[in-house]
Amino acid sequence: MRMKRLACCLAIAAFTLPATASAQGLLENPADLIWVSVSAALVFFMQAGFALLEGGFVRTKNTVNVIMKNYADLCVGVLAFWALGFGLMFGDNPSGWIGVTHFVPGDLTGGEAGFMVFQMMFAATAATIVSGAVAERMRFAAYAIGAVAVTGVIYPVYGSWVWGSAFEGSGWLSERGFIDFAGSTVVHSIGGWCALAAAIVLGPRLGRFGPKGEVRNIPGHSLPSVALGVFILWLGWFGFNGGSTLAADASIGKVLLNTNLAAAAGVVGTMILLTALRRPVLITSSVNGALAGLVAITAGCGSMEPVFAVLTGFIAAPIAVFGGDLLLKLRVDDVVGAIPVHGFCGAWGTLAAGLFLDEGLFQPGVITTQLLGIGAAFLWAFPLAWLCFAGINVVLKVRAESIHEQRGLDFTEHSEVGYPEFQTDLPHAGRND
Amino acid sequence: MAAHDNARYSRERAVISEVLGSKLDAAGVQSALDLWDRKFAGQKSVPLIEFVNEIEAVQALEARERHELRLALYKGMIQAAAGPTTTAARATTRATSPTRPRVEFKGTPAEIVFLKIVQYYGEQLRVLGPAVMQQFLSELRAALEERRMPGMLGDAMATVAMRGAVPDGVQWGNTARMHMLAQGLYVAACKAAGPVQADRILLGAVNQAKQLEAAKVFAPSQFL
Repeated sequence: MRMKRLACCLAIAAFTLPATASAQGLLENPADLIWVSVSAALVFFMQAGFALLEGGFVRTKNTVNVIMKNYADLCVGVLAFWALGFGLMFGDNPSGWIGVTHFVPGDLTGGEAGFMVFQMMFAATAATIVSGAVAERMRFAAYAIGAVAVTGVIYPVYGSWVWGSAFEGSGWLSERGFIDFAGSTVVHSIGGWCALAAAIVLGPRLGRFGPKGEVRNIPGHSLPSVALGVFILWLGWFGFNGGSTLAADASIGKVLLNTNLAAAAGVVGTMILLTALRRPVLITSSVNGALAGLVAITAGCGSMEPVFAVLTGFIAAPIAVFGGDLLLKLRVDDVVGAIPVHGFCGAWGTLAAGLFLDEGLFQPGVITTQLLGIGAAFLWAFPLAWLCFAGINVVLKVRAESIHEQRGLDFTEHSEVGYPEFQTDLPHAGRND
Repeated sequence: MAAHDNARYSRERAVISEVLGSKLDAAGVQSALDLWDRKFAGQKSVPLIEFVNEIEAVQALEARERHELRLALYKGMIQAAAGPTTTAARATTRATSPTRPRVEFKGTPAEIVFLKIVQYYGEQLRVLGPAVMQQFLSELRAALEERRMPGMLGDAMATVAMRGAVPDGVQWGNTARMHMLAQGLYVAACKAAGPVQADRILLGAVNQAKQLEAAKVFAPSQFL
């Protein structure tokens, strides 16, 4: 009954409450706006990094499909976030649980509009994490609908708890002092948990695991593309974390330094770990080490000393490697390693932001709040995303037919192939006849 | 081992070679003999059903043929236990050629192309070992069941894959049905050997089928 009343109040408020005039001082300084706009462009460029990374990780016959998914989640994500997500996340938030104004916003100041563009890119990043995990077997339309749910509801509602509101009121986790500077949990863990839910609903690729659970390696078609993608992501992360200062001031320097150190530590940590485990030092694992470090430092890049940024990135390496092993044991097929990198390392980074807070290390109260935020992210995003993908599955079927897996989703979903002059050995030769 | 045990052992092996040789190729017979030596030889009471069920190559045969094999083995083993027979005396040599005789498929161009593809899958999967092959045959049956195909088609495809020979009287149906059967092959290969091998075999099968005269009338890519 109480929930019903709350839902009614929220619905009425959404349509009747006037939006507060504008955010106090939000990017009013031109230098701040320019910096955040440049950062938005860098975060946008991360989509290119994701496209190269995910495109390289799949077989040639699924390249177009996975890159189309990157385009789709960006486009539907931007629209869904503008229409619904921004209001839920940054609209006036009197309850602390959800924003209720600024839906389909039109009347924004220049600073607010710049802020929205920056945040749209974050929302699209959360959605695109899913595409890598579900590559080579998820139908395109089902994925696009899932991306709307992630960017329009799942991501912004959790975001409102931590970063809301940009106008009036604040989220319940924000009130408790939860630290997530640029989104280790808000963006990356939420994306990772959605990816986990989608991967479970979909099941593994055909033949990925043997009858006794043995893992069959399915090499990606272009490792140079994977490596280039991660270089671009690394570059984009300077905008992702640096832009989150929302101010063109000296604090950017420390944020960028910590970001860079953690990424490097993630790669070095992975290489050392793989050597110690007597495993080959794979480029796929190494570059994922960079991403692990970057994801982990995102929460605490503005609030820890550089030595702890190195430690955060270094510890992220085994979390990504062993996290990947754990998923394989559980027969969860995550094509690019998105779940350990974004989900697990996002959680670790958020905890590290509390552990290594420069105002006082290892404070129990801070750590408890961080754990609360990490747990809340999982409990919100994973079940909801699972319900969402399972629901889409009932209506549309999320899983591609096995004949589509055989032919490749490039051809069956888009009637195109990624490399028509080189894929002459494709049975269908990229033709419909 | 006593002398008479050695003689009986030889006779039993000869019976196995002769009986299985009528249905299987040399590699299949050799594999069965190895299994016999490893697990069943020297037992007073031989569990023939278990033995036959464990012979990987036999799994490709139809149920009726498996039953005939068991019966023939049963009769042969009784004789082998009783004493020297002409059968045992004859069976001192084994075929050593690992190559399987090439079978010319008959039927419509679509059937010929389809059978070539099935045969190619069998050849390639056999190279990966008996465990993979056994898994493939079991997955093939499951895949065809899932597609609600008659079980006899699964048995017939297994026979083509294992022996390159086509059982008599099989109605493969129209192109659409053969298309579904070919897809079942890919799914089974994926599950048994992994998607990378399955992709490789699929492309190899198409290329092989393209060499056929029938491929000029019916393009192999139509199945895939």
